[in-house]
Amino acid sequence: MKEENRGGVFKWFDFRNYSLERFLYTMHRISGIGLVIWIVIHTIQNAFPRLFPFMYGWEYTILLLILSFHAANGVRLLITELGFLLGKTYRPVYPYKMGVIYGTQKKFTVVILLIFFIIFLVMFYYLMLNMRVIT
Amino acid sequence: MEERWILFKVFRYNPKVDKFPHWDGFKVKVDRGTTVLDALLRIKEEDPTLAVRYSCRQSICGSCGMMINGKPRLACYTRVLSLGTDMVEVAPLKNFRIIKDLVVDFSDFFKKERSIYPFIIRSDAEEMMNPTGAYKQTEEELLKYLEFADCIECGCCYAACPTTATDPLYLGPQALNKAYRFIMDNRDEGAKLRLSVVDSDHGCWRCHFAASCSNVCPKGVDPAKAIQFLKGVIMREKTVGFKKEGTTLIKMSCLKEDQRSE
Amino acid sequence: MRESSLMMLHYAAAVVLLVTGSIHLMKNNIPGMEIHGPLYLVNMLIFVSALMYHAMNGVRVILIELMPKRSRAISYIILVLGIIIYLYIANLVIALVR
Repeated sequence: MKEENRGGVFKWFDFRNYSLERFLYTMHRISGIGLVIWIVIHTIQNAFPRLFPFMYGWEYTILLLILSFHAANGVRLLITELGFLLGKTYRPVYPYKMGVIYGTQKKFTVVILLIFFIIFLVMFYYLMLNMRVIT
Repeated sequence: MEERWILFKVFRYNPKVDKFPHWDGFKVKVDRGTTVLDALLRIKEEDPTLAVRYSCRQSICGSCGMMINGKPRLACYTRVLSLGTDMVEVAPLKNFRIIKDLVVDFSDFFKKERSIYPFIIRSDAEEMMNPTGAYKQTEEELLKYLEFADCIECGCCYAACPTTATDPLYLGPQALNKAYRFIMDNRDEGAKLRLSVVDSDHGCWRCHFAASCSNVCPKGVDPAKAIQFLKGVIMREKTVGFKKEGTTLIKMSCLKEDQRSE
Repeated sequence: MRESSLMMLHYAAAVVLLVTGSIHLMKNNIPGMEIHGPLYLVNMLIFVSALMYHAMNGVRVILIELMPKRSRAISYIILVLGIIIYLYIANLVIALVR
């Protein structure tokens, strides 16, 4: 009913007008669901090894992206949801550009994204090694 | 003075009469200082059936929250030309029930705020009933919660939050922010009571730090920070215990003649 | 159980997953890495336990946000499903790593 006026599930994926943290929330949800699907696939692959023989391939790149993103963002959520690295409290004075999306937490987020990139590169290197693309 | 004609697309819906909502277009001449509220009042001169809630028109009462170009803002605080578009879309605040056109129902919102006991709770009842003095707080103790006390209850954070979009039972960033403000105030002794309300199925743990609430707050209150600090307080209480320093009472008789209120 | 206890276990499981998951990935993908015997089996069993808890709690949180009135029913169904799937996967791991 339109009267109810709730955003619905579409609002989980609509990060257009907001800051970086909203985009990271959406990506964390999507990567979480992706990893649950991967658990199902991996279990079936290991339960019937003759029907699904294991081979290194390019599709593992997506898995590596999802895994390293969820791990890196998860570490960021773990630290901030325990109350650390969020920034100080202060007397709010206009123009208010000192909150949690501007200060210490934002710098920490940038560091976490760098860590995500580095972990992805390391895993990608070993994938390339095992696919015999490089030796 | 630079003047332009801007097209306003206004959401119209009367649940008692209409089956579906529709959008009405109005062309309004705006200049540098025209706010969206000014434009809506000029539209009201053309079409008096438009329902708009407003009061102070200086962003202190929190009445005129609405979705302006897809983001929840205060209408009196948003200048039309600062939006940068030729067409401005005005819709009622999301995640609230619509009463008519741009007016929404805040009763659920205030019920959730009342459920976390938004007042100071102390155990010395005699002092509460017949006060004899003032409670002293240092600057550091004040800074722990002062930022979160600036809330004007406009509902913009509640409209921006992705969790309230699907979960009508979620307390919402405003109620959780207020709960943290009272827990950290060292004049208050009711932390346990509030923590049991906040630490529930639809309490602070349904927040996933999307920080959209802090992004849209017109007063710089930062509810996202308050909620993460609140989670930290709950975790600290479970592991090492959470203790607050109390305040000291300065009796009236200690105050100088010109400082007494009676 | 209180929600904060469930979330504390969720965070603890995340930390355990980081450690045991890295060992699992390193053994299978770095050529020349040799970890065998009971140590690897213990690592895999801890990994699978933490993974099942973390994944099931995550799914439970998403379902509760979608259907808030039935949170108790969702919690119990997830608990039962989680135990059944965990027993199946643990059995599979023990059979494979031996």
